[in-house]
Amino acid sequence: MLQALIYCDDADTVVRLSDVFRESGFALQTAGTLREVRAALLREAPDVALVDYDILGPDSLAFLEQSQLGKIVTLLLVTSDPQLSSAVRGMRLGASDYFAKPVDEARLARALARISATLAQPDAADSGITTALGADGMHGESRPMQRLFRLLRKVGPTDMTVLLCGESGVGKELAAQAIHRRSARAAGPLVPVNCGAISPAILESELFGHEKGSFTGASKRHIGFFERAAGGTLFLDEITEMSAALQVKLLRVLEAGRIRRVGGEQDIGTDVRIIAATNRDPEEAIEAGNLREDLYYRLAQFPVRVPPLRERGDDVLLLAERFLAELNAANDTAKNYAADTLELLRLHDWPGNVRELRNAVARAYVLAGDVIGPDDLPARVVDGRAGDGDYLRISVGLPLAEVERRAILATVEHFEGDRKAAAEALGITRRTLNTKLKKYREQ
Amino acid sequence: MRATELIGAPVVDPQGRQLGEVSDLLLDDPVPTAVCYALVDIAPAAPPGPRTVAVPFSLLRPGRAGQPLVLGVSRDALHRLRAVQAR
Repeated sequence: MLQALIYCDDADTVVRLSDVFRESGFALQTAGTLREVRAALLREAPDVALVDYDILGPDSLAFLEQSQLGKIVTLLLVTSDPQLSSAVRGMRLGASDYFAKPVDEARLARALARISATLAQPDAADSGITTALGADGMHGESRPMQRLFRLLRKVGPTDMTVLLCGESGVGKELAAQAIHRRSARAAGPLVPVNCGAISPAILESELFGHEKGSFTGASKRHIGFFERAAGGTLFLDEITEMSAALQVKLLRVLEAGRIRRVGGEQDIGTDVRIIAATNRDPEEAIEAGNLREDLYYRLAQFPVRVPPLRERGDDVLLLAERFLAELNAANDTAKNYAADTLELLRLHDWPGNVRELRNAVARAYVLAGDVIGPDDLPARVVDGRAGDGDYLRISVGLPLAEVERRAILATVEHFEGDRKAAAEALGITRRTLNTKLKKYREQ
Repeated sequence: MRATELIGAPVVDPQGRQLGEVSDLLLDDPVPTAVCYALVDIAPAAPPGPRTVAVPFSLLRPGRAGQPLVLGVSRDALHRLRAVQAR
């Protein structure tokens, strides 16, 4: 099914138009507010968006312009005021068609039929992206990934700020690379910054730089990530790990397009595209106080969800074969999977996503002979969700410190020593995790 | 939420007046990761008689546990929808 979004606050109109969309073969999301539009875009980017122009306030108009929604999806406008000014405004929004109220259902059906026919034909520019996104290392034949590839291709050249949302291990950094390579900034640098891996005390000076003598230990001028990314893209991973105070400063920089080094007296213009990422649900992060709402709206000019592996169907097998082929090529071997091994790979839900799959394949490759059997896979893959490896037995009355210790060690083991993934799953910074693991070793 | 909790659930308008009940769900195809439409059997008492219509699933608001689903659509608008043929 193709995907559609109706942005209209009159439910009677929505339900009437929804019949036309359904009969034209579209799955449909509805939104009555701008907040619901953002949430809908994050759930599933539509192929077509029908927007009631008359309900658009300044915020909504600004969002539609900044997100350049009309360049990314087919945008249809509905208005009771088909004046020239609306039309001109619509052009700026990138609308491809207009409908006067009440909407002529037959005309809408014809428009949707045309759009369906167009989308059914592979775009020449899309060739080669159905199974992989060029040299970016993202592979997948599933529909969610094909939609993601198409979305990244469209978002890439726009120069807008993008927020990538997805669980740990889904490949958000690869998606950022894909966007960068398809932008006019491709010749410039792509500077990745993991906000959760840098001490909050020095993150500001790492981002914006500092002047000599600005604080104890600042023995020389330091150029920050913003300046290093000049002419290119700055990828801010784990954005919700950034302190609230620094989020305010980042928002100010994004609004003004200028930075000031720590200890500096002059503002410096920036020429940087920002791609941010989080493994949390943005709305929940806002509620929990980990993400400022105004920064979220500024970062998420276009939100993009990178789907978890469990939603990608047989991409698990495609990736497993690909990872094994890489290992075979690197080691001049010809190992392959037993049929029941592949079945187990399909059945596992992969909470650690592609990273977990890659680790599982690497481990199985080392343990196996010529054929990788079920016994070569990690226990949690073989045992399924009910496997003991994914559960802890905690007695009533166990001291909290011991509960925490067991939970942390089990999580690190679950992610096969990948501390970044373990910290993300536990909801703590990597630095906190490292401190606790060091303490456990010393006990 | 289980499908069995939805199918057969009463549907009311925002004022609590009965509109009908959920008879089935339409899933995305070919990868059914989302429910797209709920099929609602319109209350038989309303003209032109009992029939099934499809409403966007996102328009249904779950009530408290055991309470009806709230559909913010007028009865008239619901009755203007085309009937969905049972398969």
